[in-house]
Amino acid sequence: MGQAASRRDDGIDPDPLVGAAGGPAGVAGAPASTVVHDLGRARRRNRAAGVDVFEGFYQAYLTAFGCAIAVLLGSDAIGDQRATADQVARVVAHGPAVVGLGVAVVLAVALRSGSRGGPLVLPAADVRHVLLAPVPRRDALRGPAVHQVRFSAFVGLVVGAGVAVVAARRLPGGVPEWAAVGGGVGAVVGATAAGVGLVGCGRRVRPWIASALAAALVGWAVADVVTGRVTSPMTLVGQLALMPLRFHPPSLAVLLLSVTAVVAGVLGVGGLSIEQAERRATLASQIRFALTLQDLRTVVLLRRQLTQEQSRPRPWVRLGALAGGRTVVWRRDLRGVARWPGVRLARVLLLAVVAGGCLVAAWAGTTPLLLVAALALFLAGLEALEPMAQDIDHPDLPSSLPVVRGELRLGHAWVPLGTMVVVALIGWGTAILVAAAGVFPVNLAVTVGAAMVVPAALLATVGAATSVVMEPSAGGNGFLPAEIAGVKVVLRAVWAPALVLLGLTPLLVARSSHQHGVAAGPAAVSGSIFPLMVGVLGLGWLRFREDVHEYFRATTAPAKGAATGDA
Amino acid sequence: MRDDVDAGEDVTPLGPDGAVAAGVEAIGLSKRYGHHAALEPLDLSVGVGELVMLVGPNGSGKTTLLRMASGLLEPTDGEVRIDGFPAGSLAARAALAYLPDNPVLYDDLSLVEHLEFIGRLHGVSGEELEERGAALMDRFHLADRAHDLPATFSRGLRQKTSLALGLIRPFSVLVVDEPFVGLDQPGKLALLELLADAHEQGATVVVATHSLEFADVAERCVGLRDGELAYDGEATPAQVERLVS
Repeated sequence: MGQAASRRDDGIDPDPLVGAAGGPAGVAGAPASTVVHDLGRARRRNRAAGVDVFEGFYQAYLTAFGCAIAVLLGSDAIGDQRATADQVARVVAHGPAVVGLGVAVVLAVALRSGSRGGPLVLPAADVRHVLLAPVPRRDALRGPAVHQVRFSAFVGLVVGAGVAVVAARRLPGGVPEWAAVGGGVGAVVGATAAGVGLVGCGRRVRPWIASALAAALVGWAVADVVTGRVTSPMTLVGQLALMPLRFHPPSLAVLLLSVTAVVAGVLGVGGLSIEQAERRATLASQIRFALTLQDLRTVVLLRRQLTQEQSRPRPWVRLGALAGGRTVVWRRDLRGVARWPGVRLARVLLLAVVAGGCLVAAWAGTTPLLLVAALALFLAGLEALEPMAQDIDHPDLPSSLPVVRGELRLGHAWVPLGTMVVVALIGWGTAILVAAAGVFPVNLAVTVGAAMVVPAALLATVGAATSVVMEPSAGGNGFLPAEIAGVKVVLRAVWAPALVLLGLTPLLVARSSHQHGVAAGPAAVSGSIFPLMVGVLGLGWLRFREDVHEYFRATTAPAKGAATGDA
Repeated sequence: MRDDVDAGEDVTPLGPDGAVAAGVEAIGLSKRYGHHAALEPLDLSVGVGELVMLVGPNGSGKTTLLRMASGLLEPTDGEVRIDGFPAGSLAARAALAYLPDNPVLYDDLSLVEHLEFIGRLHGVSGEELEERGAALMDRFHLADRAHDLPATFSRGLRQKTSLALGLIRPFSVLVVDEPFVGLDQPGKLALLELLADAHEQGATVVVATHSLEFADVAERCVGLRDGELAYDGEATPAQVERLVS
């Protein structure tokens, strides 16, 4: 110890580490909020200095170009069959409750996210340096909280306006009117969700309490749907959203609740758990990185960590001991499904219901909702493919087994396929229930749905498996022109969901036949033949992927050798 | 809780109740992750001005203990007090400097900007901030990288930067986690000097390390194993070696 005082021989006085100023900003120095504000400003300034202006303009040009094409294609794809007077009357009567149910789901998700430290995602350095500094956390976090509310409101605005434009193609009222109302209500819902989440994290609502409250909110909204009465604030939001059809002035009162949630959230954010903030900061930065590589599997895994979703220690159903033989892979996969946490079961159930509901809407003329149904099935497929994904995550394990890798991979596809058949059956059941409510003839839902279950399940499995098996993008586009590299990136991203979409095309065939007076059921069956063939090919690709790659490598090797003068 | 505590006062700190407080005090402190206990209920008191070496094999609970002291982790049960104040409170944050084993830096702020803003967050500004920053950069041989962004730094440089950031502000308790990892020999020597300086100036210093060199400097050794207190006594290289094996 004694060496410490005398060891400075470089002429610099040892600085007083202990003593002198110290204390929190705002006590001894500038106000805390000023320092935090200055810190953010300096970071923005440095980031702006690092941006290449021409590169920025070029990216903006490409984005605008892509959006314009999407809008043009999307406008053509949206059905323009105007709703009948009877249909409009049904939307006026039941629409607010159905929209309210959607709002309840959004708020429930926000509440659960808040109980786990969401929706704020702070930079890890802010957690380490700002939140550990003697600065009142309410001051340090107010800026990020307001930013989060603004961002959520903006996302809500965009989504709300988009949905409203689709509605405007079928319902009475002009597009500007619907877009303005939809955007406004979307912004209110987005901001409220952020406020509810901030209240949850600031008040440190326990996850089980948040889950109970979330279930109560959704249950309340479901009760309104079932009874046809307006009792919940969410249904009032639904009334606001359908203002172009009928205006209910009392529904404006719900705006007060929204403002209250936002104010309470922003003012109470100082109570957030720094432990959760640090965990979210770390995981969120990893998720962003995985997204840049289009590595969906890593995103799924990190999201599960973020939501602290773990397999059940005790399975829902006890399965017998693993025996050898050909069924061992299936039995292992069944055990995985038997340990799904309740949250995952609920999520897959919700995805199935969403897919079924969207298919009904697509049948009724809102064709773009086919995309939402495909996305829902794709996400459910990713959940079902978990055992195969684990083998891909840990390649050493399958490599150490005396089994051909393709056979093992194909073996992992059957239980997910069975799971997806169950998912498709739930979607079918949803469609039948909606039909039974008088939207369209039940026999149509039964026959067309029956023809769609297998192709939809098969293509959802194959599409998700394609995404899981495909390695993350490792770059390698450096020598391609930006436009071609961009197209390659987009194709890579949409290829797997497009396969799932193909599994839903029998609905379009059946709908077209029905409109031309031909029986829809047989048309759906014949329309499912091509998707089924593609699905079987997809399973073959899973089995023989390595062999095909090896064949192409062997075929192209001599040509490459010649090109490099290696002959 | 006293929000206006001046952690740098060179006097024996008093707790909120006016009694003499330990620099770091764990009272029935535990941390569990589901069924796994990262730290079993622990009672530990580190006196004001003491220099303590915290040792133990990987997974023994050292980092968990230090992160709970810093306020980054919340105890499952019990509490940690820093100079008598609950860990994580405004007063405890003013008193405690935490030097973590993994440097976390802003990618868009230069080294000198890091020092400026983190110093200001801790109430250091003006000439004092400049002097402290210059001295720290000089000690860790960082002066020629002062205006560079951390993205261009090696692991060792990031570690040195992180140490400088932890020391830019006054403190009365210094908690350091594996500080020598990634440092070159001059960096290690500079850090040893700084730790010794802090101790000489009256700070309570707790260092989690496997470095046997530090056993010569530490006054006391606390050993953890499987989340439990395994040793509390004199710090000797032989003892440290036994505890980490």
